[in-house]
Amino acid sequence: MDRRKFMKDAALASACASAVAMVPGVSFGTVQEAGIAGSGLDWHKTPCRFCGVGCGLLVGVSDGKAVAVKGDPASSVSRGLGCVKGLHAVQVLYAADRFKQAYVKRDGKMVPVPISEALDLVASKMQETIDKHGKDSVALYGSGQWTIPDGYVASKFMKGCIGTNNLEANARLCMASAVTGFLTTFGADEPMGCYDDIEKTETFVMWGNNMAEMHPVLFSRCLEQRRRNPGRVKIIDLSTRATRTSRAADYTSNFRPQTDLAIANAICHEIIKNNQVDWDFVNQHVNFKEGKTNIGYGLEDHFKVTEETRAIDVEAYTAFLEDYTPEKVEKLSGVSAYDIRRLAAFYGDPNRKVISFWCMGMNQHTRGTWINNLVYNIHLLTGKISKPGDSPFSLTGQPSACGTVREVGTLTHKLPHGVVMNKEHREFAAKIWDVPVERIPAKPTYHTVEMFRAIDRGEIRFLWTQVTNPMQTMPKLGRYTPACEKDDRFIVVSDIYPTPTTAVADVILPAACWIEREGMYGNSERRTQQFDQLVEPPGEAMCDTWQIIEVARRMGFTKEFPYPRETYIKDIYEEYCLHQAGMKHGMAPYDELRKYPGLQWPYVNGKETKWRYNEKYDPAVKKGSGFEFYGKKDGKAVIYARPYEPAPEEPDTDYPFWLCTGRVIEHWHTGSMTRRIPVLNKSVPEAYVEINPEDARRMGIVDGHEVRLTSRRGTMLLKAKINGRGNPPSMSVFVPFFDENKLINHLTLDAFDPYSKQPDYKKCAIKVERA
Amino acid sequence: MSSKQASPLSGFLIISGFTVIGVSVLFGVRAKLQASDSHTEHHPAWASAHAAPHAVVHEEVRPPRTALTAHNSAPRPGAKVRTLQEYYSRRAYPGAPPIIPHAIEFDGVINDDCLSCHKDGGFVPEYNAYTPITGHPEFDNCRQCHVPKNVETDFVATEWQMPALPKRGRQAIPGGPLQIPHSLHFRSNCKVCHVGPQAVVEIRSSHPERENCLQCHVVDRDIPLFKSRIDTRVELAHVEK
Repeated sequence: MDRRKFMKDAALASACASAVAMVPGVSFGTVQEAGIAGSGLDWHKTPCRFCGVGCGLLVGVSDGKAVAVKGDPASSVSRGLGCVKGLHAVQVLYAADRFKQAYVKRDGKMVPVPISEALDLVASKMQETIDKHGKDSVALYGSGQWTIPDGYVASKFMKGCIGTNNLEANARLCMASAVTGFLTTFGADEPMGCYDDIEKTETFVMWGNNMAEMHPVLFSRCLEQRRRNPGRVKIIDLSTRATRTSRAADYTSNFRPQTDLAIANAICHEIIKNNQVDWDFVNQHVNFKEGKTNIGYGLEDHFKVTEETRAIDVEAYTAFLEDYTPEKVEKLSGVSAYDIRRLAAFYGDPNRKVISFWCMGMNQHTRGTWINNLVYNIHLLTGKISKPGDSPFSLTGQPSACGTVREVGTLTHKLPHGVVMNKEHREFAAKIWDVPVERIPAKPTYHTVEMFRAIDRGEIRFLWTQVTNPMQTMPKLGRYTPACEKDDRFIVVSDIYPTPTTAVADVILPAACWIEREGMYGNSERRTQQFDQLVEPPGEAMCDTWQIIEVARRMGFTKEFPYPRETYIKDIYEEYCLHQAGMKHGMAPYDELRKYPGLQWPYVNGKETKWRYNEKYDPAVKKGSGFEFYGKKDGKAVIYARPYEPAPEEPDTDYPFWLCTGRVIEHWHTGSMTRRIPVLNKSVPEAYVEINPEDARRMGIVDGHEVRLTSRRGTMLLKAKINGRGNPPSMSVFVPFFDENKLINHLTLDAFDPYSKQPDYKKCAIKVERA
Repeated sequence: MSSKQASPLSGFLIISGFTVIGVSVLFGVRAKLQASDSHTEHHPAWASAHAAPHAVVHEEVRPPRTALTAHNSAPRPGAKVRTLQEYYSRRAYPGAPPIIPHAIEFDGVINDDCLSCHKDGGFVPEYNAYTPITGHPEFDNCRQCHVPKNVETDFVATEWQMPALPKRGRQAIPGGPLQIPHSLHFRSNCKVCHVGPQAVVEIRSSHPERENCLQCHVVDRDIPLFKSRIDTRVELAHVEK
């Protein structure tokens, strides 16, 4: 090439580069995003249908169909981003096997019937069961994908009308330990911080959390924060296998399952030893306590344990930590003392802000409450809490696990405000519901695992599930699927597609999905996100809220459910807000919710509260106190001395491998939605088992080989995945649970955390054989 | 008595390795697909056949292009040309993230692995094609939105249909600049699709030397015509009297 030509080309190349640089200065306000001419699309805001991050999406509607998606630039959560699931979410509505009418089982076959007939049958069967076996023989099992109005009418119907506490939701399987962690340490549920902490921090510690795949949009914000602060911002991954998150992290340590308890204690040991405790903060705002130990695993029916706590002093706490020196914990956990000290140094450095992120790794844990407590201990000792950029942050897996299950309280012991055990709370709820207070029973009945055991035992004869798929998600399915198939059990399933749960149903009610109805979700950071109905549901498919109202009215509760069809979602939300009124949990008015991609509670005097318990940001905090953990009577959070205790079933000579289950980025939970999105199914069409490459070589297993996995509860064949996106350490395997044809929960154990009652899907013993 | 002290991290600068055996092997990147000859070979003449077919070209007012063809020339002879049909076949709807149409050697990719090819593009002999360039290299968690196609089959049939495609060739007046028929959200880097040998052939710019695309091209939106509020008030006042 001659020199002259080279110069010209170089000039052109730089011209093209600058053209690129000029255009991104455009701002993407909602006005600019309004319908592009000729496309025929109307764009509407909605939260994403999938995980608990709560990304803001814009859905494009054309001719009554949802046809396109883009990230909502106005959303403070996702800032115009989305993940591959969210960006294809509208395709969930249009698979060919969508339920468009109700089905009723006749002579062993499901036959289509008009939905009014099916609702008649549900109401009469429910009444008949109550008459025959009592109020506690009927149960409603909902979901963290329930919208707020769904959960609210469910609670009012079961607790305020029928008068039973047989109300649970699948969030018991995913968030219960986070709740008990918050309640024991702070006395009030849900995070004190918010996602804005990501751009204000310098350190991310991922506790057993593959955020790159499970909360990808937030992870992108973490990567962006590191990119903008090179050398300063660090991502630290603590996990039981190498994941995409590990690969993006600055430091990664693999620990033996269950030993996170010991690692957290070792970090506190080092912080005290190195004199990095923020004593001003601790002396003013923290109490020290210890609780019961050897609390069991809930493997037997009717299992019960009661917590007993005692106050201890700092010396006793320090002495307790002597069992957790880095050297001792290295032997237990497999993480080097060096790595533990480095992690402690990150937490302890007074000039460094730290966020801890976690999700199912810490919650699906037979000591889930404890490990939540222990991570809070680290943040309380160092005073790195309730401040911008300093935040222990419990992530959620479902779009409204917080908004509906935790805040509305669709759990056996909960009310929309408070708990059934408390007389004042019952009176408060009864007054708003306008029902006699005696109707609300004071005793909780069954938590989820025990609820399905009660179905097996015959104490519960009627079960109605909405927006959930327990015949794929319950652990130890070998017991709970046959339980639901027993002759005199009546199972009603509201869903949008066939699942293993509709396979055991006596009635299937076709449901409206997401933007086919109006509603609101509540995400991980206390943000309530409203969406309008954007398209019509297919056929006779009906909103879950309205299904419950229809059945309740058929059972005579017309006075309790007076809401007119045109405004019922708004009416129900406004009634719900009465329960939460006040500076500690006030909700944004409905008309405000409609204007924004989402608003955070406590919503006080027209303002969101971004950091709770900190006087600077939270108007509910006592003036002059600096910080007040007002969930506790004395305003002080608790540091708990919680020991390491082993998992209920650890590998032995017969079953020498650990089994961990979880998700992949393409599929969400049981895959009943994401597998019907062509792009996602084509990427990951079936479940597989990740095996360590050395183990595979030793056993003569190559990638794609069939492998037999066997636990004490079941056995199954899966294809081996070696050197895939995840890589487990030697003698452990990982299987995703989305595949209804490979129900890995036939192998898992139904042990649970005795306080949260949340099962542990991350740890059981299996054997692995070449098939 | 919390005391500020020097960072205790200074002693921990050594990056620890993974504790999983064999992980280092996994960091292999598809280096063989890296090629960067797109800007080193040139085809002398402006090939008008590759101008966007809908463009109303007024040759007489354009500056001479003889030396400005490198980025808009036909790809090297015989190289595969990216077409609109192929472009849409990889998306569920216009604006959807495209799938990854090629094999991936290592499924655990994150960060720079994809960007090593897709940041700057270039000719890839293996595919006899030019690498599409990403419009958003600042985002490096690529697999957040982009997934490969490992099987051809669907889990169940879908009734989904590709919605209407953006209409090309819109002009307010004959000879006026073309209007942009799509949102600029995540599509604000015009070069990616409209300029260079990797650009989609039907929509290549006829004038890649112009830097400020939005100087002439605006997004065409369904926004009601301007209506003067002052006029309305006058009218109302008039009516009220």
